[in-house]
Amino acid sequence: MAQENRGPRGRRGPGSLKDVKNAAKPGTAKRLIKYLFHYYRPQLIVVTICIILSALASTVATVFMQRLIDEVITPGITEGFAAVAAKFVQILASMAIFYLVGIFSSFLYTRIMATVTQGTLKHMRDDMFDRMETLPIRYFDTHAHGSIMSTYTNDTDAIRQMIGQSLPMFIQSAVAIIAIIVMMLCYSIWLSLVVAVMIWIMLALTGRIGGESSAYMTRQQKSLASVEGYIEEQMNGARVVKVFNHETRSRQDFKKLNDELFSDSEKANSAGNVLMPILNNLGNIMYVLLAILGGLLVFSHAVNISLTGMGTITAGIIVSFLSMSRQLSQTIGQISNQVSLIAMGIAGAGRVFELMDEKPEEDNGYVMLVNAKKDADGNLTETDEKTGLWAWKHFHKADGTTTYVELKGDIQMEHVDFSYNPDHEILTTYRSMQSPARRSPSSVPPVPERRRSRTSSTGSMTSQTGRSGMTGSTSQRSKSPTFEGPLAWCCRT
Amino acid sequence: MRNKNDRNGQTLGSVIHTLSGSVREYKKASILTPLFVAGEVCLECILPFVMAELIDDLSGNSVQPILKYGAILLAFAMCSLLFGVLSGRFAATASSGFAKNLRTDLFDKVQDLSFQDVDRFSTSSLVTRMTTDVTNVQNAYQMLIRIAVRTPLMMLFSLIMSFTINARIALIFLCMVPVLAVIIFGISLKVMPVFRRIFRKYDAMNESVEENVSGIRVVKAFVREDYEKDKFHKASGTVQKDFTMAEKILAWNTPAMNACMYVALFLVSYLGARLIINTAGTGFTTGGLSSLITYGVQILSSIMMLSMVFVMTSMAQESAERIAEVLNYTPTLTSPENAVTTVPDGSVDFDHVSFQYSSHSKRKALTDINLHIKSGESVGIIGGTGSSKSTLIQLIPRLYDATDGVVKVGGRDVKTYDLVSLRDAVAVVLQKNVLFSGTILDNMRWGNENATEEEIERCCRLACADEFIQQMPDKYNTWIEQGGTNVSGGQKQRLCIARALIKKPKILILDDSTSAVDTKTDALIRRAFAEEIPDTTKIIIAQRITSVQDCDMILVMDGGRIVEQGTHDELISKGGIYREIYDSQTGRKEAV
Repeated sequence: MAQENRGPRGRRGPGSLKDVKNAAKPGTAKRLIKYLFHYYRPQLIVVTICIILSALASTVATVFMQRLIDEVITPGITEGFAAVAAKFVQILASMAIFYLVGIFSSFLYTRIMATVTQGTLKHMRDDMFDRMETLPIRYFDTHAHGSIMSTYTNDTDAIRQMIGQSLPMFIQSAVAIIAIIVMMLCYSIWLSLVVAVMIWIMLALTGRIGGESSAYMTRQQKSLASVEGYIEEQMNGARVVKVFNHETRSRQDFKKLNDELFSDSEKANSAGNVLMPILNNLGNIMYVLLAILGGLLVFSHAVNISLTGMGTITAGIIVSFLSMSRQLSQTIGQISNQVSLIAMGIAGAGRVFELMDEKPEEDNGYVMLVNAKKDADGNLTETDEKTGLWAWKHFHKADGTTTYVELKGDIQMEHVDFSYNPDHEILTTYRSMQSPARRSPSSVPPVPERRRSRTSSTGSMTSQTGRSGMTGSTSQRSKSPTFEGPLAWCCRT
Repeated sequence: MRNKNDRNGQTLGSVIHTLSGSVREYKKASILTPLFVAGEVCLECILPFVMAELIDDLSGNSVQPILKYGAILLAFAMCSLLFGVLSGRFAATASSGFAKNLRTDLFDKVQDLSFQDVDRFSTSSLVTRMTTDVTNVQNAYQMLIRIAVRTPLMMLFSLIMSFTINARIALIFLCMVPVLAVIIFGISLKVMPVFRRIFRKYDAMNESVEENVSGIRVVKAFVREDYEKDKFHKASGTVQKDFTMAEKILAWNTPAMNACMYVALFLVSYLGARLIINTAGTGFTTGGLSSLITYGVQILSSIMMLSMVFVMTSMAQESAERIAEVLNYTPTLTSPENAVTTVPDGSVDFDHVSFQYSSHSKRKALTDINLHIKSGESVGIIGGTGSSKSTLIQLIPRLYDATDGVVKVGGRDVKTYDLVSLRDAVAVVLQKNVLFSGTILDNMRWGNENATEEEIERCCRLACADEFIQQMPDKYNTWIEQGGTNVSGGQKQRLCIARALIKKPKILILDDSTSAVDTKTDALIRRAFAEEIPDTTKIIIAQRITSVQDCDMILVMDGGRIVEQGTHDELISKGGIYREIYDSQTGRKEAV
């Protein structure tokens, strides 16, 4: 029964084309966060604080550079070291403190996130599995197995990636960006304008290329699913392929699918690959433009407007700005990388929640099967011992009494209608009776039990018809132990 | 992993050599990529260096140097952009093309494998190799020709440029590099075997989910939901514990990286500031400081990137080995040279044939089989499960080769026939009936590409499939889903019988192919065989006595041997196993 060995990474393509549509319901992200907080509230609060601190620490060098240059180096060149020593120490000390806090924070949050991520995944897997075990058989017949498995593997992988790496990095980048933007505005609005324009261009390009990339990635996933489906089919039917000398045709059909996959993969990867170099180099261009503009401003002794007041542009400001702009463009690049991963994670979470929300089988039965023993008069009483005798325990709500009926194996179907599909009725008003304890030459394992919910009927037992192939043959298909006793009847065209 | 021991013969070098045979027409793209990457890195590294000059000219004396350097820098940046885009494009082509060729080569090789070979690898393993493993190798390849070129070059150039600006301060970086490298690579090396071990448990956990998904009926029938839930909780708990431990080890990466980076920046700031002040801006400049910081960040980030590349390519190594293993494999069953291409008739002979599935098997599947079937005869084979009935008939079209003795068809050793010709003459309806996605007509044409609709309909009538096909809305153009899920078991069997008939075979073998068909239809099919294809040798494996009763010869198999042979009447009067089966199936004793 257990089939695919999934190799070292356990990754397989989507189970069917249906899964490729990453249609996550709105509110999935919110629900995911609620799910996380439900289990790990205190940890997540600590983590968020740590991420913020870590992000701030990463901007220290660039931010303090301006003060270092303008308050220490430039005056120091003319006035000598002793004059600026005190200031120097003060700045260095602040830097050191920030750095230490940053290092410690990053250590703390990465460790905590390891626990949070894996713990959340475990809860998700358990919840999914528990729910899955209660689902009616109809669910398994109408959902491709590959698709269900994909939820346990690909989707949880995507969620892990998102929670463990993408989300923290995203938050850290976002905080860093905000901090840098604020500092930039505090230093010079002119230069900030240049940055703003360049960033706008970068974001626009990211949007376009990113959109193209994700469109191609969707197509690539589809092609991959087709190729994988074809390979699986051919492999599973390899004997038939051989017996019918179908190899050449197989190869030709495969080539078509493979070529399509190549084309989609090439385009998807291309779009994905060029994004980083483009952003990188736009960052470089912005860097250069800032230097040029900064130089011009200094040269023209232009008035520098900033949030902290007006003044003249100094070399320190420019150098700081250059560092900050570099960091800004790099951070934006990092975020754009993470966005697609976050989207995949949310899509995965959507599918996980979908599985967890599926309606379980209805079990409104109130007659239970218990161990029983017979006393001298033939009356049945319930017992905890493991006797070989079983009885149906029926509590009558009307009068508060409990009756016991010995399990003998008779089944009655009265006026049973059944259909696999609500539109396509198969059993109509089926009625049969079978006397107890008749053993047929073909002992067939399945015991009558609730395999399908009936569409309408009145039955004399709470259990319903089971399904088996009544072929009258002596072949034993399954190796499970045979069950003496009730036989299951089935009527299927 | 089962195949671990078998891959001992492969070294990394031989694996790379094997795989590189699949690069072919994408060599050009594969070489251009690193070239463009190198170009991009060069320009990117010169940028801060030239920038230093510009910053130092910010003293406000003249516009000239600002504009001059500005223009140069812009040109560099544009070129770098161009190189970056080109390298990205070519990398995509190279890696996707490589993957395409790998998949083609693997598919071709797998088609040539015999069943023994396929069993050795296992079907699911081969599917994984053609899909997941190829994707892993593709991603690793792309990374190798891009990032694995970029990062060392970046690091090298940045170091060189740093030394050009100021050797003393650049020494700080030189010292940081090994420290950070040791920490990060140490962590990676430590964590990788842990992850490999964990992924096996992870796979096992997912396999148990798959068992539940495909076997949900059994789980429900035996009311084992709670047991399965507990089992799963334990498995997922183990996975959680192990993964958490591994990720905690990995978690040292970020703080280590940050620590090294911050220490370096701190020292550079301190030393740099002092140097500038003490030399009054001559030995070292503000511009130099700014650029050094840029270079420093680049160097340290490169180490981080490099370790990531290292980890990812290591994970791909296992995939690469698995692919190379298949590509280098020599199939065990091939057509001989000077093969005979016509099969004269449908006679079948087994001369002292023995067979075992693998040389490690403790017992033989078939022992000393001697059979002589005349052309056109109908032969029934009956026996309990595991009596090797299917094994016997699979030797006829050379799905497996006998370990001892000779199997003959049409008077000649089967090994002398061309495989295609042999398999065209011997039609087998296997136990596991597989239909492929496509219309019914498509599936039927597997027997003969050029079969006309009349021929197809005739064969379907013979197989008693025509009646239900006519009831379907699209009749012969009805689409069959993958695995044939939209037809019942009995319908599938009949379609498979029809498909075999279209081949117009000399020998028709039915391996328990009427088990899902009711007795009346079974009889109809057999009558059709007797009337319509009297010259075809028919070998029928069945569980029901009624299916083989009328055969010219009946074989009873037990434990890999033929224990009884004869006609129905002969075997009944013998009073052996055949008689026993007959009695139990009909529930009465026939008068002798």
